[in-house]
Amino acid sequence: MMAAALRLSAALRLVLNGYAVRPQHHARAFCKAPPDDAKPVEEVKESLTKKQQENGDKVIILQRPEDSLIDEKLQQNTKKCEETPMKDRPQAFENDKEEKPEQSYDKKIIFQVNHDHHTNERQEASQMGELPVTEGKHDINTDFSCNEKQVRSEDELTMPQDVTVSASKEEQVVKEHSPVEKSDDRRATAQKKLHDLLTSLASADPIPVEPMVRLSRPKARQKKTGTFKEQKKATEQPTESVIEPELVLATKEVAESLGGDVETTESELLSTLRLHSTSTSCDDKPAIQLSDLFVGMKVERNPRKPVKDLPRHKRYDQDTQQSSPRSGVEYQKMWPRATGRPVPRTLARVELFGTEHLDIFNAKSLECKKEAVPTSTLLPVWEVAHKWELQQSVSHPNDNAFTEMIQWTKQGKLWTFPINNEVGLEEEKSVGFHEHIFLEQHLEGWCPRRGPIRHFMELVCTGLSKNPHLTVERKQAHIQWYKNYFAEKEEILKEIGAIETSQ
Amino acid sequence: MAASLSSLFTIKLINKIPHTSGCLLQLPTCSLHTTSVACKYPNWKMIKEVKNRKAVKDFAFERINVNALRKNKIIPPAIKEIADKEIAALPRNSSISQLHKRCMLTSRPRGLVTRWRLSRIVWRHEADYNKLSGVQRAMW
Repeated sequence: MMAAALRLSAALRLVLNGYAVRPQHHARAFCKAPPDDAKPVEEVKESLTKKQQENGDKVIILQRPEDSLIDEKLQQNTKKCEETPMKDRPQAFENDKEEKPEQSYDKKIIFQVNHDHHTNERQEASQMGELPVTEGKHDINTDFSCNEKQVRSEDELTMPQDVTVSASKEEQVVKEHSPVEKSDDRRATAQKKLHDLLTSLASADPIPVEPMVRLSRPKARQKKTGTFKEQKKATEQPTESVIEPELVLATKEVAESLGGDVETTESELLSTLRLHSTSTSCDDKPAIQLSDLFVGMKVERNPRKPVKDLPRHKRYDQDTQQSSPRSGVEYQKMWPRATGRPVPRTLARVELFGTEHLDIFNAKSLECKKEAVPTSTLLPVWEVAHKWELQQSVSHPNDNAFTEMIQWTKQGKLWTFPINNEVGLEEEKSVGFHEHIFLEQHLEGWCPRRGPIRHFMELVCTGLSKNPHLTVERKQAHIQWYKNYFAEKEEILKEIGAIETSQ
Repeated sequence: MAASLSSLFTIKLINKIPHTSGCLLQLPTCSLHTTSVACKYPNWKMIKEVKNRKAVKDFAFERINVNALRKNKIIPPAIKEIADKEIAALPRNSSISQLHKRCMLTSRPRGLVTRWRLSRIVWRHEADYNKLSGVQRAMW
């Protein structure tokens, strides 16, 4: 039996080993995890740059911006290098790594600065010929730990896209090309260019942001007639408009010259003048007022009908297309047209407490209704069914998972967030620790002071005091049970001698 | 057919299941499943197991007290003998050792994964459908 159980458990373990049950806080998302021995990208890049330094170190002592070109290539190289595991990569010059950590750091900075401008530079460099740096290097470098594939042509080298796995490959190929003397001039010019670029970058002002574009803003809206007080204020304050007398004379002359209704034209002109002359302040009303504009002008009172035609009744019972193919004009009729003059809307004033109270949704009325239902016992099943139906009619299935979760939380099936570890232990907070621990007080009165029973009960008390999961009432109940038990067995205990008879 | 059979599995003794007026109602106005399906047990054996657990809970207090008297070296042996008899008199179902775990969904008595209270087959099924929190196919 035991053996069978053991076998079963072993089998289970085998099955379960197919599944990894991780504790929640260690749970790992199912994603492509890198192998354990993979180094971080920055480390790889650093190692590569350092390696490159060693190669070029014997010629180039000072920091050159051209080194950043190589860095750029290296950056691209590293993308391919990352794919190849570390063992296959050319291991080079690890001893010298420590000596020049600063250089690599500076290089990196320069590289970052140059990053955006690289393509142009490289193109220029390519036009001149080979990259001067590589040529300079090829003299010194004798040992190349990498593979000796010689596939690359000159053109491929200059183009940054077709970059090989290891930088040393390029250097190998470069060996074969044109002599060093020509390259020196080119190198100098390239260097100069780079230098200039860098200086310009360093000294360049921040890119000028486009100045604030002046957008057309709508005119200030006329405020609605506010409260009575505001209206009063408005009327009290006369709008001060100082128009020069010359202008007034000019308006009169203009009006007379125009002919027609002289007074109206004059008033219009004066009103416009007033608009321009009045001083605008925040407190006062805006200068432009509709009333001023309409001074003297007549308002059209012809009510226009809306131009939109009512949709004609579509006949759905007829399948065939009865209407002939519509022409352009008819199509235009179908489109919704903008009305010439929109009908002015007047919002009706709503008074909430004008009419009498309907008394429909009173709490009192609802209670009365509930009480009014007669509880007859003749048809209990039907009543239950009716009640159930009412419940069903009110409760709706959840729209989505969120409402479902809300429901579950209310029912207590789902934890409330943020997680409260002491859910259900609100009452326990009010109980002090002394009530849990000092339980010997309950032994007073009935428990003998010495003997096996006292010993036993003290052990019981210590055990209970250490139990955090029980309530105080339950602990006291335990002790009470023992009290009752020993009270029943008192005679037997006296016979044995567990209890002292003389007390 | 299914409705009538399903009604057999509801127990009147276990009062925790909410049912209206003490019996299953087959109402014309509503669907077949008038009581919640979650309260139906997969097996009669499961129902017995539930009854046993209820008994264990009822007598737990008394049993633990009496057992404490029995399992110690301080109480005189006479009292211990009496305690032995007392505990034997209690119903057998109230003993924890009489309980036998079962799968919650299939009532399988063997091959259980304790933490989830499921049989290994159901456990595997749920795990494959991503229903078990923190459980993932292991590979290393």
